Amino acid sequence: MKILRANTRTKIITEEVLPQDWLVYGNRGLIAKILLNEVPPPCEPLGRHNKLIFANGPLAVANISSAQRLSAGAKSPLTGGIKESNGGGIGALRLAQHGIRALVIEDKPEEKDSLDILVISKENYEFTSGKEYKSQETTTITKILQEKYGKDAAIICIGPAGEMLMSTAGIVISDIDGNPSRHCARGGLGAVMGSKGLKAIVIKNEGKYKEVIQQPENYKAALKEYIAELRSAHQTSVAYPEYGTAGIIPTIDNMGAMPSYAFRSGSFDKVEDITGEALRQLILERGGEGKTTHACMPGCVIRCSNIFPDKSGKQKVVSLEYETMVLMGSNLGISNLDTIAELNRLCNEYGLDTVEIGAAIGVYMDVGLVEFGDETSAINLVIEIGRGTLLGKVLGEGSVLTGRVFKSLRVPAVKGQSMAAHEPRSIKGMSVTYATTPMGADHTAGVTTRAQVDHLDPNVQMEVSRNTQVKVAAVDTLGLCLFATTAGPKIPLLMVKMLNGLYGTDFNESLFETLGKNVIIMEREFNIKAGFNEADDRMPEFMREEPMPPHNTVSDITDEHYHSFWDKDFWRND
Amino acid sequence: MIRVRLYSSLNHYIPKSNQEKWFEVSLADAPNIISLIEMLKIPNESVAIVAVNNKAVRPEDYQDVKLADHEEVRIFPIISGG
Repeated sequence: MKILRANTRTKIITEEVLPQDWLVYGNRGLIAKILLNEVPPPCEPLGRHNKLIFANGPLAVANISSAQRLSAGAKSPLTGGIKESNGGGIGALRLAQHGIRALVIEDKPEEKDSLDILVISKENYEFTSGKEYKSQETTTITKILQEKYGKDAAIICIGPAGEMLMSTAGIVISDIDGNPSRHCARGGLGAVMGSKGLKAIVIKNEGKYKEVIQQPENYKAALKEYIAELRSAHQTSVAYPEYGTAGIIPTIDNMGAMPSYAFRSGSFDKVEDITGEALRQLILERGGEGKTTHACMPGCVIRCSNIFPDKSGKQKVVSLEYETMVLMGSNLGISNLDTIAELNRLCNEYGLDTVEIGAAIGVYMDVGLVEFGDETSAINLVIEIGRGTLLGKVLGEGSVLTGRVFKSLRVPAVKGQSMAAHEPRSIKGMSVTYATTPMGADHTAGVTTRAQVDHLDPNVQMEVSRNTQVKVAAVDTLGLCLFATTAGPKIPLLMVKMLNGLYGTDFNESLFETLGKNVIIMEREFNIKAGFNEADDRMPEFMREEPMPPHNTVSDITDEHYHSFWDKDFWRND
Repeated sequence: MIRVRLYSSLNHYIPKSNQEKWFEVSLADAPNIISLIEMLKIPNESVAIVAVNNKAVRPEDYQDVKLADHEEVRIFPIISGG
């Protein structure tokens, strides 16, 4: 496998062999290694010294179900720290088919209005001019490039938000149907891509790279068992395909952990309109191009995604997910699925992170500038962001800047990034995750919602969060979809067996702990050098002091617990 | 009779006629929560929350809490990811 380096100033593209001892370092872990080795942590995120890295994992090339996540990473313009954000789609597989483990985008063009397309085809890599595509929305640019390079090419692009260098801009990846539907959404990586004058990356379906399976019997046995687990576990064979991520509603509302009205409440008075059942019923009733189950990565047997149709059955947004249904729904007092779908669609077209934008608009509503539930105004605000009006530029920087400009004391963010749809005052393990992960308030770094603990007891959360974060960091580094791990406790061992079978290695299950700890320690080191310290590992003041209904709890993890999170004895990898 | 409502993927375990809506169960078949879950053939590990008249019942009380006539029982599935 190789690492491709594309210099956006010189337009020279080189390749180097992936070091043998980096074999299991894909995705998030590989990004951490490269950023720590090569990017000065105090650098300007939108400047020439930052690097934007795309990486897949060691199993992507084998085209295994649910193991082809594509990670994007850089120093984040939103948090000022290290950032990795991953999405599904076909980008990871297409890169692997060209024998590419990582693509490192370096430097930045000298010319101010530079806008390029990077094309990866069999034995040829080149930058071509993309100036004519300036300001194109993501569906448009994806279609244009597919017409030119093949419907089955992977298209990775930014929308107008990334071109405007907004800190809420994400990177969009096309899926198996050719829709630009998957997102490396969090942390403003779209702005980093825009700062390097890169509108899109095209990876043609011409790659022929294959890994020779070293232990075919072992590999096939492990793969068979892995698929059997995914197909038999309730979560991955019923819950996710039938209800998607929205199936979590109304359980999480009942737990009082579903952010509503700018994080004023953990349950929503109009929850019945946006449950997983309501979404499923709407899609089934409308039929047409709507789908209640849909694979975002090729061959994924979990198929948790969906296609939301408009009233005439035409595809409106792929896909409508829990986080958006909350941050752009209950968080804004909006309970109309069509409105939430339209807000989602607009964000997708502009290339924006729905979580961060939802949080920012929530802050704007919370200070009284727009009423909660005002659907028309919410849509108009997103349109302003897409147009880059002055207000749009403020909201497009995320919840923290929005809160600073409009004088809110209720900004739900840590390290500059907004929280997601798991309320940390009702699921107190999320307080630890949001506060301590080097990613900033990022739920995916360590969701504790599923843990069998008393979520309201502050004294048991630190270890739950920490253990989850370590496991997730390993899962993220192997390029595995987190949802595959919900099939049951056998999954990590089966992953290890598949790796060993494919590569002839000798790992055991402790790989997850070793890898996970290594990756988080690297990320923390980057952040410390970028200027972060222990004061940044804390929850916002309002959440520590404002009791939130329905349980009327605050975020009350102690300083001792936060401090002990980084206890050297735990993190030492012997 | 008690009224029961299962949410999201728990509906997988019950006949279509009862899915995604309130249905009735006789107290004779389900005097307590454990027997209700068993009767509906829901795996224990799939249950996250049981609420009787909108009040959550602790799992350790599923055996002891007796259900009464006209009570409403909601059963929520476990959560994963989001």
